[in-house]
Amino acid sequence: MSLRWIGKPIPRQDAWTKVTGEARYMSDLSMPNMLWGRVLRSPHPHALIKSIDIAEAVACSGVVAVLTHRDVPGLNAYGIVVQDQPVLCGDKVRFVGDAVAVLAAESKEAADHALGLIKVEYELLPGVFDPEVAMQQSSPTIHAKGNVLRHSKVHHGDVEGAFADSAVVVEREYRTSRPISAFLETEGGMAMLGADGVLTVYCGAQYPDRDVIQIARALGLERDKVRMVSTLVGGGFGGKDEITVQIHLALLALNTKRPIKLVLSREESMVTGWKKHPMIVRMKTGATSDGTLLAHEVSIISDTGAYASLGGTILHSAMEHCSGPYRVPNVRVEGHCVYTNNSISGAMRGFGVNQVTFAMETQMDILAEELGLDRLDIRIKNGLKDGDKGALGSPLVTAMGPVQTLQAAGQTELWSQRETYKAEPSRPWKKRGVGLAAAIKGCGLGFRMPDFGAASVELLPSGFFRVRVGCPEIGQGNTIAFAQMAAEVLGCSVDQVEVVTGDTGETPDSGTSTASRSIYVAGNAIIDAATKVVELVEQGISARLVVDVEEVELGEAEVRAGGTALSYLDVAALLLQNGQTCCAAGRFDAPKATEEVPSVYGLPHLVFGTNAHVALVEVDTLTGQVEVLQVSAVSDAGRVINLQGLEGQSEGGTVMGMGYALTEDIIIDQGMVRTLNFNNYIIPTAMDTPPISTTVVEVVEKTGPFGAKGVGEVVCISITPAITNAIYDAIKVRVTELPATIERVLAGLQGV
Amino acid sequence: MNRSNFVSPRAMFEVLEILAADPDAKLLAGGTDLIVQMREGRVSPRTLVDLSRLSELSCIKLRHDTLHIGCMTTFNQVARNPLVVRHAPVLAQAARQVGSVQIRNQGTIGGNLANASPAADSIPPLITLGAKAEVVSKDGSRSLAVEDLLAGVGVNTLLPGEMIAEVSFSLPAPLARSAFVKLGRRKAMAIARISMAGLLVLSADGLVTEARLALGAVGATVFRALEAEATLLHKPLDRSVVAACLRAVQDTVAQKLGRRASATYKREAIRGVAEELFFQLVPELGAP
Ligand SMILES: Cc1cc2nc3c(=O)[nH]c(=O)nc-3n(C[C@H](O)[C@H](O)[C@H](O)COP(=O)(O)OP(=O)(O)OC[C@H]3O[C@@H](n4cnc5c(N)ncnc54)[C@H](O)[C@@H]3O)c2cc1C
Repeated sequence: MSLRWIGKPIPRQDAWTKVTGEARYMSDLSMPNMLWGRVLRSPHPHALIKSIDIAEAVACSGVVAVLTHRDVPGLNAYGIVVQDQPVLCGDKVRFVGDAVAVLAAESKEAADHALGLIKVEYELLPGVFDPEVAMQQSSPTIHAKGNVLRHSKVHHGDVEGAFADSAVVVEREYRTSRPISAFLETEGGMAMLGADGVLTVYCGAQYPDRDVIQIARALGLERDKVRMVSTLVGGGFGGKDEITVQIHLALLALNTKRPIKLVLSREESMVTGWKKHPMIVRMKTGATSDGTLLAHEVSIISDTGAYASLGGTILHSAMEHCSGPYRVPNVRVEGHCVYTNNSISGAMRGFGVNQVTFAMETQMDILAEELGLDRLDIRIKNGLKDGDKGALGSPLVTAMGPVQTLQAAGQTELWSQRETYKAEPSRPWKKRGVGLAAAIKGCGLGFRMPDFGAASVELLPSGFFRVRVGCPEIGQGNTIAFAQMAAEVLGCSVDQVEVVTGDTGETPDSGTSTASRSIYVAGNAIIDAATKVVELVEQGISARLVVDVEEVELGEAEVRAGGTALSYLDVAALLLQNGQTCCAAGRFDAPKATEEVPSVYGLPHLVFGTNAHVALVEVDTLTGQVEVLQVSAVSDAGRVINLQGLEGQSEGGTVMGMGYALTEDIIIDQGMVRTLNFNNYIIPTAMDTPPISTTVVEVVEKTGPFGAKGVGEVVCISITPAITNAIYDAIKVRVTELPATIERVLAGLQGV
Repeated sequence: MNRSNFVSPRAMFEVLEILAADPDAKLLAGGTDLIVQMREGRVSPRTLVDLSRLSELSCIKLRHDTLHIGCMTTFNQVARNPLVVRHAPVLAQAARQVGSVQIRNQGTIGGNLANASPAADSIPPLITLGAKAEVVSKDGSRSLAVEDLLAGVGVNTLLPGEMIAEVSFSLPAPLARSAFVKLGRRKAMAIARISMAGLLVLSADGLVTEARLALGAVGATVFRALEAEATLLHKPLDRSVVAACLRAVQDTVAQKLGRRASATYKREAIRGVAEELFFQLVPELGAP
């Protein structure tokens, strides 16, 4: 198949407006007569609410509404899986930042002022901040049903026997940090009640169709009375998958009948935003003397904070990926996802896989060292192939890329010439090291969860085509990829395709823009719809011009029908007369495994993207400072749809995973968030970003659109252990706790 | 953030009148510290006195071997100024490491001094240059050494009604060597965990005739490491002399840090900062 648009580095359609600042995020919108909203939040990590007195705030000039739990008309709770998070707390608060009241005022200043006038009387409860403490019976309970949200176990093979047969067994404990997405646009937006009684919420989000369900449920409205618009989004990374401010906006708009805007400050976002789950991962791995992995025993304790959201699902994802991209025939894994009075953990790029991959890839390096094997060889030897079984024992039946990806990583100059790169550090007291790691990450939602794509393609009177897809553009560049896939099928140029995403009033529900899935599911749905539109055009033209259907051909600039060539404008004029339309809906249901993994809900995944990273670091042995000097990334995306988009994901993912390795951590002390802004929540800047080269390995997935898989998450995973393994290579200090701050590295150097 | 009155005087005397009349007035230079502090509710001045219309306050002039830098001069102006680059490269080196391009375009040297952070990047180099601040008020002016401007974390010794008009220093000897080193958690937008500036003057026969070492972010204010300086005086810059000086720096820092939480790390890491400083000051020494 010769492809015209697929794989080409076509610039994004929104590039110019975003670079010039012309593009408007939902939190940039404003309306005449608009009110400003604010949320009153709990200053305590765990407390009973004795009373809420809003009288003074209500009486304050400029204040239009002050609402509490009593004003939530429907279910006062939300949550993607379990609805355990109150829209507005009534009896109890469970973390610093829990919402207690919302208000609307004529100005931002009036809203800020009035917020301080709401009086809440609390009775403090003892808090629990350590997940291992929270698991104990004697611990204060955060939710009536107990502090363990999910406890799951999977076991296959003869683990004891395999450990007994192992020549070497490596056992370590790893602890991971609590990073936040740090998106450019904080959570925020606008809402208004239309004259038609439809409540429209404009808010950056990753799954507006599901948000509508959650909003309608909380407000006691019919779903068709709620519309959600979520385009453009200033970054998601998982942090806008769950409800953020949508219900608060909707509640205020419904109550005041005026447009309302609410945007979280950066500090509020840092306190209340969804974090990646900190996990304690204990791993015991056994291998034969030639490095063949035999046995793996893993325990994961995941701190989900005050509410469930996707905590259980993320734990399961971590369990599924607990052997990284490697084959281990005998595995026992046990996971606990635990409530604490810490800030809330939820979806964040990688979905539990970053944590276990960091652990597993460190285990692999230790095994290689103990067995005297090459770090690359031991990985390739154990790399997952089609037909192998995954960590939980389910067969892998799609195109698996670990071996090819690792081989390509081995061929990068950074790896093959590593001794040269390491030879001359910039100062006599600095040392260089090169590290390697790989990762897989499932695309899509896994077994049981409805996982579908839906799209429509329509010929417009202008001769352009409009593609509608629910999955929002959250900055990752799916819009241009959607346009390329549509144009490839339609035959027209990419410029002729307009893409609309993320508006429940306009676009078919296509599931979330999460889980590395939107290209895979929505792409397939677009192919389906576009194929039907091609048929409609061919048949329509054939009938109008009385030529054979076979003689009609859609081309880049024109449609040829027999001997004549028609512009797309003419084609539209011919076909769309008399109220006719030329529009088709497309659908794709993601294939599922034949069997569910016993005792864990929603597993396995079927399709996996793979990534490998090689990193060169220089460590200052006197200060513990780690500089990442150069990175080579290898990405198996299946067939690449847009090369520039893939490189963007790869580079952005690399930098995000670098922050995870070295600096990023939301520090919570007895429930109080101490990192409130970017002065002490340290993300890498452009100056810290090393040269990154991305090599593409296309292990084509036949169920994917044109052979594509999703890579939005896997690109940020292997870099973290590649860096920590490079640190070891440089200074022989094992990083087992993230992030590897200057203090920890220096303490390691001193043998502390 | 509470509301403040905002005034934008066109003449210096007006500024000084307002400062004299209203003890609750605050000068607004680049605003890169002040606006942050106001947003956090740490200060809420009744009146903001904007200095941006007083163009005479942002200038760099050489007069009789003394370099004068107006208080409103931004870090980028300092970093790029040929006189600074030529005569006081240590100050240019520090200015280049402040925040980011945006902060360097906005933040001023007067603001950096007045804000009196122990991590302020311009202060260690100014101290090693022996800089003085020209302090003015409605009633007159006085000159004081930059060290004497600093009273504690975020506290300066200005009296009510006073402001810093400029900083100035005599040009260092032509053969002076100087350098600034900053240890941060990343390469830009980093607050110094530790910083250090050094300026050494050597005689023709290679003996140290003048030595100034200033340390940032290890005490409540930036300060001179006098004992470490003394180890260098009248000595050749050989490895053993440098090693003795490094030990003295480390001792001073350990003393200064006492038992604060960051002490464990900084006591050790100072060696890396000082080593780097001497690597730059005495490149001919090479490896330790
Ligand atoms: C993102 C960011 C990064 C930063 N990075 C660095 C860094 O790397 N290194 C560093 O040293 N600093 C850094 N800072 C701090 C700040 O930029 C500097 O301290 C800067 O020099 C302050 O100058 P300003 O002109 O902005 O002062 P302003 O904020 O306008 O004023 C600061 C204080 O000084 C007073 N003041 C101003 N001018 C005078 C005067 N002439 N006389 C008397 N009082 C006066 C003001 O009233 C106020 O109290 C950073 C700040 C931010 C926001």
